[in-house]
Amino acid sequence: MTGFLGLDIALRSLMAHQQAMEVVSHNIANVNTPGYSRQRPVFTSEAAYYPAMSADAGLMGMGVRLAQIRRMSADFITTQVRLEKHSYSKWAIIRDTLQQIEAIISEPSEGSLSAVMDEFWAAWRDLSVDPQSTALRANVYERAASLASTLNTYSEQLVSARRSFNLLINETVRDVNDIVQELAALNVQIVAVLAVGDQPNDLRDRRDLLLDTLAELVDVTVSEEENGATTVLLRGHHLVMGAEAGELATVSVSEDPTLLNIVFQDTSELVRIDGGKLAGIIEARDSVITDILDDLDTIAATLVSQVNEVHAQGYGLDGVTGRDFFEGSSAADIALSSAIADLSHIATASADPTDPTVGGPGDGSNATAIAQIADALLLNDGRASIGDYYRSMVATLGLDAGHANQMAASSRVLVDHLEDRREQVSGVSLDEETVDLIRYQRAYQAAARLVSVINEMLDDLIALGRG
Amino acid sequence: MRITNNLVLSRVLRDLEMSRRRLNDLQVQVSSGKRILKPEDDPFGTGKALGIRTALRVNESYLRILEASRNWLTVTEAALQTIGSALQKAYVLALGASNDSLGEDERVLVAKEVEELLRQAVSAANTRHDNRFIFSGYQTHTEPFELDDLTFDVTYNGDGGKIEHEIEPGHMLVANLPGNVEAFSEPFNALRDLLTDLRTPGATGDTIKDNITKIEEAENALLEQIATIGARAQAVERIDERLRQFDIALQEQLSKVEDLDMAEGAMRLMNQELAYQTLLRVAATLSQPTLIEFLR
Repeated sequence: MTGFLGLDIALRSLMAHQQAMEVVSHNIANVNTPGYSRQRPVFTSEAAYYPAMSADAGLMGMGVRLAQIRRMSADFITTQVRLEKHSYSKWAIIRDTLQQIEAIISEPSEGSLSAVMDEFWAAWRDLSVDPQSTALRANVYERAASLASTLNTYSEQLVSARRSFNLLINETVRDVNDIVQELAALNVQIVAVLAVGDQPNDLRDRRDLLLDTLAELVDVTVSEEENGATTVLLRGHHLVMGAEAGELATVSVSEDPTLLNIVFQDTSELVRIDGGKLAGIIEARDSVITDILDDLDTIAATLVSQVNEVHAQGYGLDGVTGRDFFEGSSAADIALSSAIADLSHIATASADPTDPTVGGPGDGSNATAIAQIADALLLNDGRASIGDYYRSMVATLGLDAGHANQMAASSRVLVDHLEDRREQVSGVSLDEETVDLIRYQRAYQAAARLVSVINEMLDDLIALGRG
Repeated sequence: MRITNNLVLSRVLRDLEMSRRRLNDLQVQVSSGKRILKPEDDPFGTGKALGIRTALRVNESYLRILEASRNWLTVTEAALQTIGSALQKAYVLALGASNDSLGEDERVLVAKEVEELLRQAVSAANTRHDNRFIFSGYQTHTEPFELDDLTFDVTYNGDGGKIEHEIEPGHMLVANLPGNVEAFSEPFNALRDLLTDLRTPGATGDTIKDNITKIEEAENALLEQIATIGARAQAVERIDERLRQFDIALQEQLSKVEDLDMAEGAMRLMNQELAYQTLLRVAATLSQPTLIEFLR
């Protein structure tokens, strides 16, 4: 009986070690697979029994068994990784948006708003010295047109950037929904495998990878149920629960139908998103870009109202007063008034130049008054001129961009560090696998040798019987 | 601490990327010569740089105005000098004619000369600069002085408008001289009176002597005005000089804020290039042999 038992034990060893080698080759094959957690064969010795023949020898071992293929995952680190990804993804979008705005504003440089505004004021001063000069009037007109169109362009580019976030929102929401659906399906599979007592290692890898990706998109909370299914919550609302998937959807913003908001599809309730790409998009769109647009609009509105006020007090060469110079009220629509399409209408004089008793064509004092608006403290409760306000806006933009850059960078460092630590636990080391392969191979060889030895022994035994 | 293949590779990749990014930033800095390429690079520096650039443009603008002022004042002064020299010639003629021994015919000849001088003076007073009458006040399209061919009265048709140039922030300079001042009326009246008296039959030397006094007074009034114009011209030069110095100072400031110290920049770039290349070499050695290659 011992002989056959020995064979049995050897056979079990052969099988166990062959399976172990399969696990090793699975690891080696997946050394570059993203999200793969290495698997380790866990041996236990087979339950012992009392042999009939030599009971006083005690329990006799029954060989080895591959009890489990353990998935080496660092779940606690994974939670931290996802948290940090919420932060990183959000700051990355904000940083990119701010850098895009920096490119649109393109300061310091010679073709930007700062230069164009300075040239505008200087043109008025030049005109004040020779108010009848057609060339100088044309210069004022041109510089004004440049100023208006620069503001228009900035506004257009910012608004367009804001709208382009819609595309990104749609894309991202679609990605979220795809992931959420797949997670629900995986839940079903994983629960089924666990129910029969097996380890759904590769399925878990797939699920973890999806959850990592999801963490980059929205700041969800993930928890695992007793039966192995994952529950994914967003603001307490279920995105994944067991086999059910709750999707996100987009709706138009009521104040501006060109923009989109995000809602839960089943309740149409607005979702507040605090982390991940979607949070970054919404903050970039609704605060970052909007703040700059508001500042530019303030500048444009102040220009229009102040210049018009002083211009209306003056007289054109035709003796007419009360004309506007600019029209519009924001950076998007500031333009030159049709009233001054005829250059002689530009109001350079402070009194009617066609009435010799009160004034004459040599009077350029209103032009001087307009040039002086550049230094007037019109904004920030009388503490800032238009130029001051703009320069402060640019400096703040720089500060914000620098800050976002730093936040993104330090978040990235943290994510990388945590992912490295996770990799240390669950990554495949080819050297390690090689050593394991040798180990299992040797054990296999030994077991094979064992079979051969027992075979010889049995031969001898049978030979005995032949006599 | 377990080291896996991916760990090593991903770290190397990250370091390479960071090194490359730094290298790129330095390259752009050096090739543009600027320290600040976007506001993020130095937010406060950017604010300062923008302020300095605006100040430079404003300065340039005022220098242009000063140029215009200078031209006005120069032309004004020249015209006044012309009137002055007409007065001086008239003075000499009057002296000569104050002699009772001069005959009627000679007086008529002198009168003709004085009339010519008056016309010259009026013509000078009607000088134009850049298509504008400089002595008309605001009525720059209207000829200021009209000489009546019969009475030789000179009427002023302009107004008292002062054309002010802003030559530096808040500082207005009156660039013109409106013609309704004594510096014009006295010379014209003196010349007219001399002329008339010379043509009056039976004029005595005493009458002419009165005219001489009037001419002297007219000369004083004119000189006073010329001095005022002269003082303004000096102010213009002073401020011009000051603004030019300011321009130089601003340029220096701007350079300090915006420009890259090229020596330092070039050195940092070289260092970073070296660092990057070293990193590449190290990365190459990391495609290490694994245990597998040493077995069998």
